[in-house]
Amino acid sequence: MKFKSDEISSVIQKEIEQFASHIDVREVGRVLEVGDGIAQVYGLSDVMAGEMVEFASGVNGLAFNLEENSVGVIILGDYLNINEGEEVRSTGKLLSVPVGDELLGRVVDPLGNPLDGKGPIVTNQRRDVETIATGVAERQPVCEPLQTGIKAVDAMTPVGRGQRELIIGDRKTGKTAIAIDAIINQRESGVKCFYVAVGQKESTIAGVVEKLREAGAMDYTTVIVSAASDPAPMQYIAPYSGTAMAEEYMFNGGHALVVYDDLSKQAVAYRELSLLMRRPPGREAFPGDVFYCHSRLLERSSKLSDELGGGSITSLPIIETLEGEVSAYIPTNVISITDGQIYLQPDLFFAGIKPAMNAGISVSRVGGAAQIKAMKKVAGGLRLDLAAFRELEAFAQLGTELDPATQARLDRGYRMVELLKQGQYKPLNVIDQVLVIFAGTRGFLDSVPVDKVQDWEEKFLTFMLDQKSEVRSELADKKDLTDDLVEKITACIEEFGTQYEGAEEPEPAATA
Amino acid sequence: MMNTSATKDTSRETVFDVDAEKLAGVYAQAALDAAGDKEDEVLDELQTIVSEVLDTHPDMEEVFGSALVSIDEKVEMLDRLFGSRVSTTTLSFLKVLTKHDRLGVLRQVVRVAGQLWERRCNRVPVQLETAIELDDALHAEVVDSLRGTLGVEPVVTTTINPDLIAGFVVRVGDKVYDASTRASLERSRQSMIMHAVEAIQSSPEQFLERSDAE
Repeated sequence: MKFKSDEISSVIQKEIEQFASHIDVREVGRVLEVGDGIAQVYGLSDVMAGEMVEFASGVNGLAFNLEENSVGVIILGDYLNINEGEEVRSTGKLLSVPVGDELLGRVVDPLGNPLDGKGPIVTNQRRDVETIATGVAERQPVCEPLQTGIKAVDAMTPVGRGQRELIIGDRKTGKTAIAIDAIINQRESGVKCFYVAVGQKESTIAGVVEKLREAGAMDYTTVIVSAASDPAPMQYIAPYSGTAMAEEYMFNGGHALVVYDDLSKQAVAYRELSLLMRRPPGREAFPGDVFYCHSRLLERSSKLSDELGGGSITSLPIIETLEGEVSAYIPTNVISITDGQIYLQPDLFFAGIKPAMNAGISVSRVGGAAQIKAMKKVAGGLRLDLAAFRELEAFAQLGTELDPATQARLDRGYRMVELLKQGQYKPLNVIDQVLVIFAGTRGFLDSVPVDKVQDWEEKFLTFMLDQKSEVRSELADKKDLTDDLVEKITACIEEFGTQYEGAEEPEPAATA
Repeated sequence: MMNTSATKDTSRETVFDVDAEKLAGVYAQAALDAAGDKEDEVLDELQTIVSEVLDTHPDMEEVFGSALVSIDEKVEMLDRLFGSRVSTTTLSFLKVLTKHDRLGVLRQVVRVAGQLWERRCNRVPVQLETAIELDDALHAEVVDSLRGTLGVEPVVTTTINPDLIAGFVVRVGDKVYDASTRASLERSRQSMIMHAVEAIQSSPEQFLERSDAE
């Protein structure tokens, strides 16, 4: 294929022929002061809140504060080239970003400009960054599962399409890892993914992009970057522009997954802007409307009704806590907005339990509606059992003599914990998850030593895939555990048990 | 910047304190209303005070704005200075300003009063920017057409800006009417880009030729 330049020039020629001169009328103001990503502008008497304005140097801004005598503008771009006295014009437009398939596989800034050096994004489809979320009548309850590929999450706190599930935890507890695994697991599901990086180190973001690329996930993913060195306005709008890009799919009947990594940094950027604009500070110096900042963002994740195509946006907001303090301002706000949270704990993480999810206080308010029937049956009481096990384990550490029933429950608990451990970038198919959790909860692992559980799991899954694929595919078709299927799976596990040499030398169960 | 502008007014329109400006507006309106029929006379006196007293004796302005000089002393000073030289309305207005401890914003008050007076006389300041210098006939024609379209008496200040290439730019208050060639060229550049992108998107095949057909 070769590019025809004469075709381009014919388009341009047509443009020149049709060109009509007319007077350009615009509303202007002048910069009074500028700095730290914001500008005070005198004039612009008819500008509206949230309207896009353009500085004479070509940089865009957003009318953020409308005061009696001046307008506070947040600058989206390089504010160092803006001078006092410079002309500012209102555009009568709202901020918008390019959307559509051209963005897949790209790394862009919050305005949709490419950052990956792969050339311009050729599209004229745009969407407003700030839109009002769909109303009650346009929605339907969450009913379809969104498989994250993580056993602990899919079994205990399932995420449905259109749900907002918060990932919360201290620094270095594997929050991003869960989100990345969820993105990687969408390879076959057709869900488009958007990773919004807010206030992170550029090296960390580059690492994430590289991991996604290695896993082949960049084919259906867009990364929206506003790094720690970007001015606060960019960090503030990044989640909204990521959502706008995802909405393009939702409103066309598709499905999208948005990861906001992380919203506590966005809140900090918003606090910075608000304080510079002299808005009164409230708790923890955040402005009074920081709740609205997050609620209007997360309300845009929804499952549309069938009349509107049934599309969805699922969001996984991430919040970083300090020293496990979930009752701080921003964490409580976002917990109350979302439909559940995955709580990650450092002590579990350091004990080698990865993902370090605390089953006791992690919840999903959508619950079973977001699970396939088979998973619902095998994982029904798993969360409560694990929480009970944690209590029992603490009690058992006192060193008292335990009765056999309690000891058996403890042993089962150790094996379940072991079973729910999962490596990074290794999402598991939901059918495989059902098989191993079935084995664990029905007690088939009780004879396997605790340190062999992961090895058993791996070999069992290979066995099922290679030798019993008919049982596996039957489960994949029905997505339900019928009595007949339960018998078949039980038979498979027993057959595998005889082959697995690890079981031949039963050891006394290890007690911690 | 803000602090100095409260006492020293400059001609640059971006250097002022928006709050002082607001305050000055209130006093300016009151002064003109109080003058009744003699608005122009009072305004003239006030403008003379600024040009003759404040501009020639900068120390005076500091005294007016200073909190160290008591209000009573300032009133007496005003009596001695202007007692027999200005109309009673002007003097009373200066005393009111003093009693409210606002003599420091006198300069802004006078400037805003001037703008207000222009507006009341149906005169609007208009900035006209052209690419080349206009001859008198053309200038008069432009002023005439401005008068016709705006429905007010334009007070035109003209600047020459060769960057416009041709045509002119008129600024009235916050509104800019841009009929320059620079703006037209920019607009056509934008629409060319937009239509080219649209054409590439809607039918990309017309821009490509198969290499085997060559």
